[in-house]
Amino acid sequence: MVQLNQFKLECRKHCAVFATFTGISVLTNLYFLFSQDQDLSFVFLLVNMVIGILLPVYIYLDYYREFFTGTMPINHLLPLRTSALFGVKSAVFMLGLILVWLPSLLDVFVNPAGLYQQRIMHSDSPALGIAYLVLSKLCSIPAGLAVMGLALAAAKRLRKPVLSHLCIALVMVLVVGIQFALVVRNSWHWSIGTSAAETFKQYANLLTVSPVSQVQPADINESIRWSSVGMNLLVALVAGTAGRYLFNSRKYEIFGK
Amino acid sequence: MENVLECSNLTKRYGKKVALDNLNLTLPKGRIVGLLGPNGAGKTTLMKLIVSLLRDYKGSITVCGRQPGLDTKRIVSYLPDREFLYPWMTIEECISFFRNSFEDFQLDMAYAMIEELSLNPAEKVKNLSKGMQERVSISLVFARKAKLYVLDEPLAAVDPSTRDKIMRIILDHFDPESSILLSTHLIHDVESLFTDIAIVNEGRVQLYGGIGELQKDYGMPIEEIFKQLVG
Repeated sequence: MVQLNQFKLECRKHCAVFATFTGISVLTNLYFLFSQDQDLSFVFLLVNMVIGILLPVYIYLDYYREFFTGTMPINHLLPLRTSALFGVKSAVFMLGLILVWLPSLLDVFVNPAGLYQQRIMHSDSPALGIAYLVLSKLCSIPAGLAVMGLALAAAKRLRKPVLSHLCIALVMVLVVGIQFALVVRNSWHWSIGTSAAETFKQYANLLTVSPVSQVQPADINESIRWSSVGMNLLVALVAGTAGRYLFNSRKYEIFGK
Repeated sequence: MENVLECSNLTKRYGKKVALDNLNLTLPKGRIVGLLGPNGAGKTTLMKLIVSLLRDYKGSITVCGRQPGLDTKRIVSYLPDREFLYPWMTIEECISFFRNSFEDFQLDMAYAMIEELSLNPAEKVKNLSKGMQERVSISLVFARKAKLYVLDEPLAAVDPSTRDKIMRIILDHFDPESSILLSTHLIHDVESLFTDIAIVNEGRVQLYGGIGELQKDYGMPIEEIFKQLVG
């Protein structure tokens, strides 16, 4: 009951932000679905990049205020474990991030020059391609949120603010860096935050990566990397479990810094 | 007599700084205890430990026999020393938030107090003055049928007439099955509210006793006793 009410409250708190970004995403995707203006195509990329940067920053700042500085003590007075509070908030962020991502499927599936009609449809197994397209994105979200939670919970163990902030940066850079290195391994070159026209995008945590091989795969399904999906699931599980332990431990104090 | 709160040899450190130093305090039920002390004496730290906002300590704390945590959050009603309501909510929404979050919340009592304190339920928290926000917070905290009320400086931001109203509300709604721990610097203005006084200094309880007994023993008002002890 308390969780459900907290979920509704968080939805209300973040509704405006996610609705705005979803709206921008819908408008941009619709415009470029019907517009053939190549000169403006960079705007499409730019909007997606800006959304891809701003949303994780927004989410991080909200977690930071709630679980690091504790500017709103009311939530920590509720009969809920800190990990449950984090879980409820994360569920809302997951829904929000999925909502903002959904309009990008217009370009993938409806656009005649999109990934589906150009590549997935002609692959050995379109169903497998679609499953990968969706699952790879969905698994990257909990991984990203769990790492943020772990970083903040671990940082609370350190007394000095400078060390705490270093710890946050270190945990996030380290985890995302390792995931990124594994995703771009064996690739000729790569780009971050772009849409790949020939292959599936990969996700190193919340980071969108398009690794490019020297030889273009004939079948798009050859660019499927289940290992990156598995890695995101593993990160979500390990970081989530460790974060849960830290949040609920006696050493985690919402105030006291 | 049944104790609502028991702190024994309670020590809390922030790094090298000792905030509470082997503090001992017992609150029987049915008491309204004024927690007095100079700035930095450890009053707020003690309160945060009781309500489980701080968790890392040595010694022991029990609220109705239970260590602070998930269980005690259901029976302790806390008013922090800072704003704690969402500014974008209306008073009505704050009431609804509390009703949905705490099983012991009494809706009728909340509305009665809001009316008594001349507040408009449709008003947004962000549009209220600091004093009015304080009134809303106190109404919400007291609308819970808790075992222990922990109030950190609840009367600091309100004018004298509102202070009197709030004190009357506290006394009118006080349940003898519960206890109140209230910190304040306004000793003279609110001492009539208290049954007992605990003076905390340098992380320890320096003096604890019933108001009448202390005044009789020391032969002076509480504020003078405080000044004499704390220097």
